[in-house]
Amino acid sequence: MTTAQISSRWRKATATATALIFLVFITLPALDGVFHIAPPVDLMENDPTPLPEISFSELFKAFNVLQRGFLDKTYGFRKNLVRLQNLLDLDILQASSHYHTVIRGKDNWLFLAQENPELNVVEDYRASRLYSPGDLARWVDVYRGRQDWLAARGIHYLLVVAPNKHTVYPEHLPAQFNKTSPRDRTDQLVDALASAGVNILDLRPAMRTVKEKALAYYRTDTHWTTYGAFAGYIEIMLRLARWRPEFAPTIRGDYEINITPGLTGGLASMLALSDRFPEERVTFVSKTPRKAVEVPNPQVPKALFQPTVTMSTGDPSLPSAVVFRDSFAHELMPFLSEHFRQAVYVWPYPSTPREMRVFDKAVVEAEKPDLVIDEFVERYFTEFPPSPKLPPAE
Amino acid sequence: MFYFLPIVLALYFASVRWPHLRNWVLLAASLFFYTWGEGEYVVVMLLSIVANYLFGIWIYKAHERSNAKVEMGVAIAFNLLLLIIFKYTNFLVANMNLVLGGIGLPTMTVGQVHLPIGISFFTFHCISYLMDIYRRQTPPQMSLPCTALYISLFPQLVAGPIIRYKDIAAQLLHRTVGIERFSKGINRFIIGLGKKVLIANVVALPADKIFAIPAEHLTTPVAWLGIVCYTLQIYFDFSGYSDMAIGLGHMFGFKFMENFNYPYISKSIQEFWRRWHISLSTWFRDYLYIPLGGNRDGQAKMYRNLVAIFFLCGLWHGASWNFVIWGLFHGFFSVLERFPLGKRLTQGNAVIAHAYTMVVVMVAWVFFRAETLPQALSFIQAMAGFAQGSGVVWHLGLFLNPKVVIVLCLAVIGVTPIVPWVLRWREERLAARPAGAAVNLGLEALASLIVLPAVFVLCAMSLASGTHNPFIYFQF
Repeated sequence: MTTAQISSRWRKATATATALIFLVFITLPALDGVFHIAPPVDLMENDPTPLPEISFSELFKAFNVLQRGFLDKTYGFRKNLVRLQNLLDLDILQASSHYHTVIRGKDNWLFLAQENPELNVVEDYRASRLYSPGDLARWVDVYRGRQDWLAARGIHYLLVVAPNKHTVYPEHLPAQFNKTSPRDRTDQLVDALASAGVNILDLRPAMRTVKEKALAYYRTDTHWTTYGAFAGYIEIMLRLARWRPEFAPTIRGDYEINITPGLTGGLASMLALSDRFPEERVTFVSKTPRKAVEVPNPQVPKALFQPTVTMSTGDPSLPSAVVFRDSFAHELMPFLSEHFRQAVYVWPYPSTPREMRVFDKAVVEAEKPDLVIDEFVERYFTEFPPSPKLPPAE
Repeated sequence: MFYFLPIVLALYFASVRWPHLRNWVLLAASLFFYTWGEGEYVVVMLLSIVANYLFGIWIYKAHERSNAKVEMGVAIAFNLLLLIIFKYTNFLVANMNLVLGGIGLPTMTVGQVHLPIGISFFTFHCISYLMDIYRRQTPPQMSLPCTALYISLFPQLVAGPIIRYKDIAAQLLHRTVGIERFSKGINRFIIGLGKKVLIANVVALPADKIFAIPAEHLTTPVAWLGIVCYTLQIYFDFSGYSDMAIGLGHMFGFKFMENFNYPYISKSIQEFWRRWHISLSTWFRDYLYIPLGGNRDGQAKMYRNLVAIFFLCGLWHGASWNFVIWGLFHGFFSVLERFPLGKRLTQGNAVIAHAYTMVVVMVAWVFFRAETLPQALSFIQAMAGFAQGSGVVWHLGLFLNPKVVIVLCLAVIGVTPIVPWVLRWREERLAARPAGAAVNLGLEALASLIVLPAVFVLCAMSLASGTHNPFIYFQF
């Protein structure tokens, strides 16, 4: 065989192999859809809109769902690819950008960054955007309005702010994320509300105190540990005791602390890297039986953003409460619920720049509680107020 | 990519023995592809296809008794009217309202008109088709499906290259693909995908964030980083799409023209436009500049023609004064280079000529990228060293990380003709000797079987993560 013939055959063989590799690569995802050959990956993300039932009348609806991202989220090997991308970016390239959902900080800490297109928690921490006096005045009107409305009904109001992890553990953030102002929106808003007489409990000092002795927030999740939640509970109860002195002697500290491996942090799951960011779970186990149990409650909505939970101790001598909550209440509920005859935890949709989180007056009127707690995590508490709605045309 | 392409390839090659059937497969795929992204607006393209199919026949028949100028005028007017309605209505109404408001008359209210993706590209395809018939360079396509396929062919539908009808007419009916050509198409497609996903998308993030910084916070280093990132983004994004289109074309047996020839090595604005978006600049040259008289009627007319071309080229890119200014900015320097000072600048020292060209191109991109004229001017002011920001709020560390730095370095290398240099070196030095020939074949296999599949997997990883993936040219 001549050199030219060898060369030609080699080129043909290379071309054939190239084509085969490419065709295999582009058909693997479809094959996985049928044969499920991809190894499982734990990836936490919003589920795509489920496909409607395929029928002629639903055909266009199905097309629309497919068109708007369903296929982008569900093809085979996708989760494996996401995991590989995050390994490459965070481990090999050490390239966290705070315009992605999760960033990796120092000492293997993970932080939430771009929560949604409009909310960047790192930028909030940096204080690159502050409130105008008009913004503050609008928020003061809102919360003062709630408090006044409740006071007219003999109900106490407490606004509780759970800090962002970034606020409590800034030393673990990457160094480039500097503070641009000595005061941030939380400082502005807490001061404005306190000055206006709103009952506000800012848990930042408490969390910093916890941090000196224990892990206040999980390294791989956005939320506080049970240490942090417990400290928050203590602060809430001490504040409520100003109105209800009988609370003071009942604040419970009789817990045994269990630390067990195997926490799956939310932030690590968003990266599909739970196995590479192991963390221990903190659990407080009561030394005496708890009385509060979940009960059905037909008076209130079953769910708003997430299901409503009603806890009852059955003790008629105790007051009742309505708590407007978010995910930070999850760790608080077992502690708080012991102090109430009935506590209703309502989980509204979080605030956005277009729509304020709901303060459901109908629930309050149905329940007639003694206390209302409005609990927010810092990043949703410091949203900008929505533009005022135009008065309806009459 | 993982559903559409395998299915289309399977259906196409299953019908390869029946030329008409494979064209129907591609047509169905193209219309599906467009509908997927644009929904009911596919009707605009279908209307355009049918109208121009009929116009083409009409113009051709008119040649039997006249020069067909009237028919051609009607057909061009139809196409431009369609483009103006869908692309420029909002712009025209906004400007009319400025005038009307200024003289105290009531303003007009029009519902927001949606810009169908790719309308600029397929309109130029339609005009190209009609012009080639009008100039008797080709007879019209008597088959409506073939006309539709030419106008809607999915590889180049939304981002070019702008394919001349006469260049592709024969290929619509007769084309073949051997395994080597198919493989070449795959590699070209992967190269284009890599340019878009691994380079353009990475540098797009700092570019977008920097161009969103308020003027009072901009600093000179950050402004320069922003424009460097955008300069690289737009080249790798757009040329990446062209590479994907050319690669897909090869897979289906079509040969599309090259659209970029390393524009950022240019030493003059005139050279830049011979290397940047070649299919567009040659379209304007052949269908507008030359009919206007080109450089045949004296220098003053030539300058007027050049300015007109650059004005329209800017306007083609977007319904905004900033795009017009971008076009005229290029036009100004293109004219200037024909004067003694300009000639001295561009034909003297190569380093100075290149630096001049890059500065002009980058400043022009500021107008292209900024949302408003005041923003563009503030940005240029910051680039020039008159920045107002302190660097505390927006500093370089927020935008640079190891990945961005690596990609910037690769991108700067990638804008040079390093690949053709390596290929030439391999052919002239390596392949000429037996031992070298073996190494050459080995390198080729290495690239095709390891490097490019790795690039493909890296792209799939990035796309799966849903990281920053802007679409610059889908807006045209």
